[in-house]
Amino acid sequence: MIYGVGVKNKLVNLNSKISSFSVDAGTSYLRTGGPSFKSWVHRWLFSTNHKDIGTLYFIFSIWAGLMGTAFSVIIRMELAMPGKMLDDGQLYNLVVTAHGLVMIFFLVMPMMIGGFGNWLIPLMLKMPDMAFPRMNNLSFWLLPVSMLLLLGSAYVDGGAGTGWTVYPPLSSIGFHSGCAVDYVIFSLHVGGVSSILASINFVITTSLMRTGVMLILRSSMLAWCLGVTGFLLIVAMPVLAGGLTMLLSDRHFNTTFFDPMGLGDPILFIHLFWFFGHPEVYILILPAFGIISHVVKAGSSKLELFGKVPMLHAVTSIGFLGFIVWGHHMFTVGMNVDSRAYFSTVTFIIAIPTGVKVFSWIATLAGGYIKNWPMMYWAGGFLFLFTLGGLTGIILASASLDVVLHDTYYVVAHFHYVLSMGAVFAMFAGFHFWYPLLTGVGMNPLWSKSQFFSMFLGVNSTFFPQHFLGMSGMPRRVQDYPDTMHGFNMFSSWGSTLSLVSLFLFLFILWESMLSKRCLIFPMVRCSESEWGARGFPRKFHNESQNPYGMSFEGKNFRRWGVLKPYKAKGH
Amino acid sequence: MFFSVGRTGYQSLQHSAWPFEISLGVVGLASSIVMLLHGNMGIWVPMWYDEVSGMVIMFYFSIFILMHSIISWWMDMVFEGTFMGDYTSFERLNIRWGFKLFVLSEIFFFFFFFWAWFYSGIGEISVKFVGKWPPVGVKAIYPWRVPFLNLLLLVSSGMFSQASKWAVSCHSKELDTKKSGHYKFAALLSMMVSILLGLLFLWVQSEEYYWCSYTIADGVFGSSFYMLTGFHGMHVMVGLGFLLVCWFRLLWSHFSFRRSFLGLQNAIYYWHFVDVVWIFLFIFVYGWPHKLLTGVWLWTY
Repeated sequence: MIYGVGVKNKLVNLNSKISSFSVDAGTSYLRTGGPSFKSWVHRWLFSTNHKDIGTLYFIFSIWAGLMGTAFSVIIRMELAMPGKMLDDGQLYNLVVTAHGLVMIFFLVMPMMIGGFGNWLIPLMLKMPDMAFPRMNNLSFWLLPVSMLLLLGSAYVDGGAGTGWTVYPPLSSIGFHSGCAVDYVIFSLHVGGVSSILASINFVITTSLMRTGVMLILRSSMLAWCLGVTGFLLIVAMPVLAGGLTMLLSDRHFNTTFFDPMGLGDPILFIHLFWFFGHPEVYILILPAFGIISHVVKAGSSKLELFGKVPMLHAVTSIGFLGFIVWGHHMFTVGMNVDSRAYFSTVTFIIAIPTGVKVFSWIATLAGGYIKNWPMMYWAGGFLFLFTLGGLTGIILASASLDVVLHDTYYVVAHFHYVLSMGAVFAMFAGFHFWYPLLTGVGMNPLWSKSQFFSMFLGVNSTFFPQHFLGMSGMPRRVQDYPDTMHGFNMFSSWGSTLSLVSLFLFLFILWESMLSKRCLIFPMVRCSESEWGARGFPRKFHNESQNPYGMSFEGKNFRRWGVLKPYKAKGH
Repeated sequence: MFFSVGRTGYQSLQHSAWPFEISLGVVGLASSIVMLLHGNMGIWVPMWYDEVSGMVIMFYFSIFILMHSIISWWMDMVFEGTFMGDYTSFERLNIRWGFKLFVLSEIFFFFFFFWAWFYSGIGEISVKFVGKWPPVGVKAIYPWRVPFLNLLLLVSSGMFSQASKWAVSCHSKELDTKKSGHYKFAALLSMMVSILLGLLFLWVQSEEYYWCSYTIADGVFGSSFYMLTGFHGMHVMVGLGFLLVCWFRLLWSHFSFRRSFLGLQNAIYYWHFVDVVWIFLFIFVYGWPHKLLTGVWLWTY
């Protein structure tokens, strides 16, 4: 990117955003004759603008990510030395639970779907806004409620020390008799409603709000990935809601879904939870795939992604296969050996479309002019480390090996490789790529690259030793461990400290970019990145006031359509 | 709410307070329910006659806030659709498919309750050469009396609602005012019959709940049975409310112009979904414990 020299207040004055918005940013300024409390409330609490809502999601998720990181540092501090640091085992379990729930539901999902999705999908599809702008706002505002309920649960009645999987009977009334688990249940319910509404919005936007010539296989990768993610959410979230409702009724309304004394079965909960849980982890990673596709394409200076249509089909098949593999989280509950064989097989099959994607990304990089931008470092890190994490996933997919490795640190290492180095690296890559689009200023590239290296060292030091810990049998969610495992645990804790410091560096870089205001002059991306095709960044409040008009040549046919032809069925 | 349809054909919505208010209502509702489940937590509000439970006040207040915001939102949608004419064909396509996706999520909500039913019914603990389904001591309801009546009620209610949709469609296209008025009357009548049949269903079902020999606390059979039928009943209530609102909108000629009756259509999709869930309930929850259709092939006793 080419940036202007940072002049104090002339080239881009972030404060002048307000005056340049005075006609745009909602009619509230017109009504109040200038910025006022009422116009602030109208703009930020009552918003129906996809950019503002995306910004809210970003702020919320960054805050939540810092909180989740804090929880993870507490965990690593506890595990740095043998013996107990925290007096209370329940508190440790609570920190583990909170770390998982916060990172999944309040960092990754809001940032990818709400942040990147809301900002970019209407820009990529050249549409005025999302399909349901008001519902978009509702999806956002339900998230602080959900987080409030979750954090509140930590302060009452000892907190919910159940792990993010909330299995009964530990989470039943007998063993967690206070209101903490009830708060967690409601928090997940509210978060689930937020996600379902947001995903309805995304599926409708990406599938129905496209120009006539933008056939569905011509959608941009991020739009497609978010559409599939939305579909996964619509189908899988209600299952979690149902399971949590059953848990709530078991706790308070004398039902016995999970209580053997009434012919119930705790394993039913495990089935229901992982029927949601496995699509959930694909929901976490599919938007990352979309982001990486864009970053890799732009960073290799290519006009198009290698094999885009197979990539789209790969995303769809990963989404579909994700529904039929949930049993690989339950290999040790006493399942039939034939069922275990089936789940192993189908889990192995998911590696195939994933491999198609990884090879296509590498092929996109091949022969291109690789830009020396921070986002490419993150994308390269993603490609390498996500593949490593996927390989450990293949090990775990084998039921025989999983019986030994289940609930050990090997599993922890696997999912942190794919999440903390897959999803999070993709988020960083996307953030570095699109930050000038969102704000019009640039982050210092040299410092960003050094932050990448320190984060890379940090997370790898944290999670690589955990493979060895898992293979030597260290179980998950334990507060203390045998002295022989001290070495790797200590190394892992040093790594987490390094990651924390890298995060501080990132916050500094973010702050400095706002301070120095090096404005963006030319986004040096090729013309096939439609979200960059505008004059002036940050983008204006409203998008274009007319629909795009597209033309395409398809062999002998020449199509020339505007927006989807009006639906002509009867009476609609 | 001016500039409400852009030249793009999609709505250009102005600021709306309802999402924020809903989130406030939700937080109040969730916290008050949790605290009520744990015995009010000792929060008593003094009144002139006695002390009132603080959490009950918060619960009702949150319900009020939620109802206010949700109904205001839907009112805004009605205004946008009718008086302001915001709903172009693009927007209607979005709303129709968005509602279908919502119904899909509801289908999966029920799907997993059925999963729990089957898991308990043919699973290891209850049956596999060990137990019986329904469990010993539970007298399953004979399906061909009350449940079958409920089935007929709901299916006919669905048919009448479909009839009213056809009538509305003709009404909105008919140019002759007299015939158009006849269609509107027919639509109102069939919709009212549909609503009454639905109300009858609710009444019959509540009677059955009253006289049923087992409760929700009677093991996993009772739990699953009441969860399934109870959530179904809640969805019937919501669907009836939707149909009732549509009836009044029909009366006030909201569906008489622009050849658009989106709200009615969505209500009827929802009603058909509720109907189909009842059919599944009838077959698997009432019928199967009585070996209605299956007997052997599901490996029951």
